[in-house]
Amino acid sequence: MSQDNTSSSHHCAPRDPAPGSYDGVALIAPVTVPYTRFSDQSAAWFIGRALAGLVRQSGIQKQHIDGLCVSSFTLAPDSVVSLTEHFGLCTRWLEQIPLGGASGVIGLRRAARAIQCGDADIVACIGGDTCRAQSFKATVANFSTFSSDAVYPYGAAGPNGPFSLITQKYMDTYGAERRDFGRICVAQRHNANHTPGALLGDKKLDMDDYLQARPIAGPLHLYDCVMPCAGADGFLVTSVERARALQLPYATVLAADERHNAFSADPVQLRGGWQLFRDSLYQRAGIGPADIDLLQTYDDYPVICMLQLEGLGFCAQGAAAAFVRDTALTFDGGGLPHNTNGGQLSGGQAGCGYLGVVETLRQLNRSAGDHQVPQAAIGMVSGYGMVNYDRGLCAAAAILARGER
Amino acid sequence: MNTPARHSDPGRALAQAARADALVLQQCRHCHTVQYPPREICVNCLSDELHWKPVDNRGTVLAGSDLHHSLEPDYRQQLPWKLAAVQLDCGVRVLVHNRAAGAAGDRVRVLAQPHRQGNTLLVTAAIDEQEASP
Repeated sequence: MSQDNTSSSHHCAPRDPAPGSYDGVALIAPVTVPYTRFSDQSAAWFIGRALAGLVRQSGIQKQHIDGLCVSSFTLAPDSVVSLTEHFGLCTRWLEQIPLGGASGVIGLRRAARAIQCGDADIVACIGGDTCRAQSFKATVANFSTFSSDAVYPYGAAGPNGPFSLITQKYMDTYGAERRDFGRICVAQRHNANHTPGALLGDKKLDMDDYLQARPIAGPLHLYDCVMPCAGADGFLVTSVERARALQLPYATVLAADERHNAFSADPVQLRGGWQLFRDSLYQRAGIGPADIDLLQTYDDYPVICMLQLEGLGFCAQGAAAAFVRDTALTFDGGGLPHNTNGGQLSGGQAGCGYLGVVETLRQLNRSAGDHQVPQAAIGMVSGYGMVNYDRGLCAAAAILARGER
Repeated sequence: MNTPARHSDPGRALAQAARADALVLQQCRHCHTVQYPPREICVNCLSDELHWKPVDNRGTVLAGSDLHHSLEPDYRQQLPWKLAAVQLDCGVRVLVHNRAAGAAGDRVRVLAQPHRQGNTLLVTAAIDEQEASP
């Protein structure tokens, strides 16, 4: 295959040293504002209700939250600072992360550094979106300069266009079949069937349903395509000391990293930036892929889950189809529990990749209820985002551990 | 509302530079890198001295797909709409309307054709056998 380490002058350079440790940082209070297909409420409403949930679940008063980090595709013309006035917050640290489905993991990283450096004591991290009849079309039509000039005029298919080409190229290169993508989607629906509030959780999906769905774009059919919706997810980042003092269950960050615009010379995206940091990520965490109890990948399309399974070392490059044939992906299948609340493919897409972080925290806190992975102690969450032209530019991942009480 | 996408200044310049007999893309005067989509800075050397030059318009289809769904009413009447990614011999990747229905691995030419609202659309065209090799 042609995607070796072909270099161009604007290729991603090797990066050393690795980022420092995240010792002393605690993630607490995972909350979700229930997803709905459409909403008349604004993004500010969803983010505000998530903030209220964080206050309620942690018992921390609103005035003690001194940092706010948000991500949203639908907040404009407002920004994170507008929200301080909406919600009556006076903060000493603000961040807004416009990195699509990598924003949850990256928000976690930014907030963790603020805690370690003393720039803030308690940071609320929230991803939230609304969804109105025309808002998705408006988002994709003007998603980026390149997209407006060189993608949208080509059939106005939204992200289905570029992802149909990525999926087709992946199938041609590695011999993956529709049924392989279907295994990911069907397993996630099983997980969603055990997750109260998952948007498609009341509907069953078997392989025949998957294979017989109507075609959308090239190899992509209905159940390969994530459903945009309204909703929000959030968590608090603070010190382990404070989490223990408050007697709240928490998770720690064993390692986290990110890369952007990696492998830009590859003709079609069959790998992402995870490859460039995964060895150092596991080294810093002191574990390997076999030690991961559950994995949340960013699932806008199942082929992107496969790129993450490969990029994060769960299988070799090009071997994800064989991996999903041999490995149960359900929360209760005894294989690799993957997207354990149904992910976005069965839960809906809102909030810029926060869903995977919040689900990992619930699993590590053992508060996931009917879809709890028994004895979950180490979880990995991966982010992917921003199809600026023909591929997602952002890749991120974090390894989280259940905090000691 | 038809195509609500706002074209950028470089995007409009591409349409203005389009010619019927050649594919005209952006090139850096300084390091001669050809780039697409159009932008205001050279992706290689960061110069802003860019101009529009006819380039080798032969290329190889990387992947193609038929779109069965569109967000725009105009396209809905034309479904299935043929989309493809083409690697041009001049070094850039282009998303195109795959009018010549080239399959993955096929050699094609890419042309800029007038599209609505004064824009252009890159489309594939068949290539003569003796012209196909790079």
